[in-house]
Amino acid sequence: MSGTVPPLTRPSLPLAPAGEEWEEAPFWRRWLGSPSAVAGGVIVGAIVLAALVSLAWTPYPPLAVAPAHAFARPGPAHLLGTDNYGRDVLSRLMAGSLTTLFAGVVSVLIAAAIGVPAGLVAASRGGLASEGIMGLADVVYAFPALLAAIALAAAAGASTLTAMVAIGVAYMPVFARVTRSGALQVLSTDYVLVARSYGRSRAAIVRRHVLPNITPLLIVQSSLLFSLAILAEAALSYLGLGTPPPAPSWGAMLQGAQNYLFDDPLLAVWPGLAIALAVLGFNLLGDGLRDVLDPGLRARR
Amino acid sequence: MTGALEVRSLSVDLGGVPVVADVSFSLRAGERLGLIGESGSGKSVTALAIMGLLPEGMRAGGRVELAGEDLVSMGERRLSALRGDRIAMVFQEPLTALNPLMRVGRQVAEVLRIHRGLGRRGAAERALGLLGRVELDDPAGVARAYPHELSGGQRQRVMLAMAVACSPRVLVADEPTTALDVVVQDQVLSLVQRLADEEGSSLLLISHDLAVVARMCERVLVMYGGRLVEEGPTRDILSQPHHPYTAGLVATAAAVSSPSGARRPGSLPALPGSVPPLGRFPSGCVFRDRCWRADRSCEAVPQLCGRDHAVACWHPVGEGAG
Repeated sequence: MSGTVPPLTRPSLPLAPAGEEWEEAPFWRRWLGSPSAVAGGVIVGAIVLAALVSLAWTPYPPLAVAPAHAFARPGPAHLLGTDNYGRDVLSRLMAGSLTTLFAGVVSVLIAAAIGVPAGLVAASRGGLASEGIMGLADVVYAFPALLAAIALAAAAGASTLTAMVAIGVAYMPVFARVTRSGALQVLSTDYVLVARSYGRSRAAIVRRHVLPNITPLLIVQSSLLFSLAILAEAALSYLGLGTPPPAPSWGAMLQGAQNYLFDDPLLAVWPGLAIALAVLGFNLLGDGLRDVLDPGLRARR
Repeated sequence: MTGALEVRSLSVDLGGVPVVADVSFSLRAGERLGLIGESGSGKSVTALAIMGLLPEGMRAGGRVELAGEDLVSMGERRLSALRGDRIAMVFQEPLTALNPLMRVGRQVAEVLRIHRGLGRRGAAERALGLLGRVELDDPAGVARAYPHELSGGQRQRVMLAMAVACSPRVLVADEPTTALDVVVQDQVLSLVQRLADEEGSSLLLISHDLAVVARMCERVLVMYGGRLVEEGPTRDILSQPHHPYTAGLVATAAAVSSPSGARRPGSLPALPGSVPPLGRFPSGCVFRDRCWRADRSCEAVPQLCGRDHAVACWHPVGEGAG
């Protein structure tokens, strides 16, 4: 019998999944190729820069009260004017960006620290563990975040920290869901089957194969949740459930400005603009990163 | 003397539907055994059941003994310790079998770190040696590469290096060359044969390609509808198939390979019908709805009978009425 006998039934050759063979452009090239990644990067970069600079220098001390200069118009002395206590708006915005970023980072970290392991366990254990975890996540998701924040503020006192915990817990289910669906996808791949065939334990597969492969997914999700967390922190501060005065916070500045809305509307415009820009920036960055980190992700959505 | 792997009444069902039924065979030490059948005959599921890697929803019954231990009833922890060390598997599709984010060398080294307790450096060194043994041109370059930088043939060699890293007693190869082009197929088959010999591993080679099995294996099992229908020395089975299904397979393959009958379209002998979907196989003999010799007696399940060359058929070809 010669070696040229073709198979009886010729199975259609499984095609490599999209993205498997594609030539990978350098990271920066792909980044620059995505308009939203560039725009988001610039906006977020500017906010981060402002926050860092505010640590060392602001035009005026953000807490310095100067009643004589209250409600100053924007001008060379005060670029964005002053508020009802004569505090420099630009300085407070810069210092507030630090609060905003800090609140975003910590609440996203809290959400991820609980949500990601929960999602991984749900995906790898399946069955009852999965039902239980995802059920719990649904309950948390259904509970109004604002109510949780009010309860927490009542119990522990209003502070940036309580706001961050409330936001983090509220977004925990989002991480759990994203992680679980991403992990299930990775767990069904051939290379996980191969890893099991050479003796990898379940826990090691999650650590060495699943986690690295869903990292892009988690980064994108973090960026998108970051913008929601900023908005939530501002809202809580506005309601007096977050950063207490006189510490500079965009939400608190907005609240302070509403009493003088007709006298000096610009006072409300600046923090509002800052919040809107930050949310836009992180949203754009998240969308851009989605394209940059994982071109296959768009098709799967 | 018991073989390297003893499979006893192995069955697999998917939600009550049998996928593999009552499969028994013995893989002798150092032997190369073929398992052949059409797509959907249960070959791959048999392999996965042996490895304890059945997908969720499928349940295995029966026994699979490796050195006296039953793999079917074994806990996942002990099974993990044996997989890759005592029993290893090579899969069909090399393109997706490697983690895209891990350098190839590290993935090969991983097997050694799990089972041999080697440190990072020691394992990396051994991995390099293994990559050389599977005849990769530039082992150091391959070790540094990510999977997408390698060709299908190169990746299948890497998979082989991982499979034989710990000199397993049993090597299961599920269509290891189906996804490769013909020239590479040939090289990889030679490599599988050589590595199995050198490591003293028994080989269970799963294929739908008679030519591959004829070349590689001393003995062959023929599977249809999740059951073994014939078993015997490769030479006997190819020259004197007893089961009508095997006879059909051999006739089809022979016609294609003979120069005279090969080129005329429409002249190829073919097995009538096609493999029914799961759960739609007839009761009794699973092949009887496609068999030209079937009658009332085939409503009962035939057992695999015969000592050396066994067949599960009420009306075997070549015995009595030919």
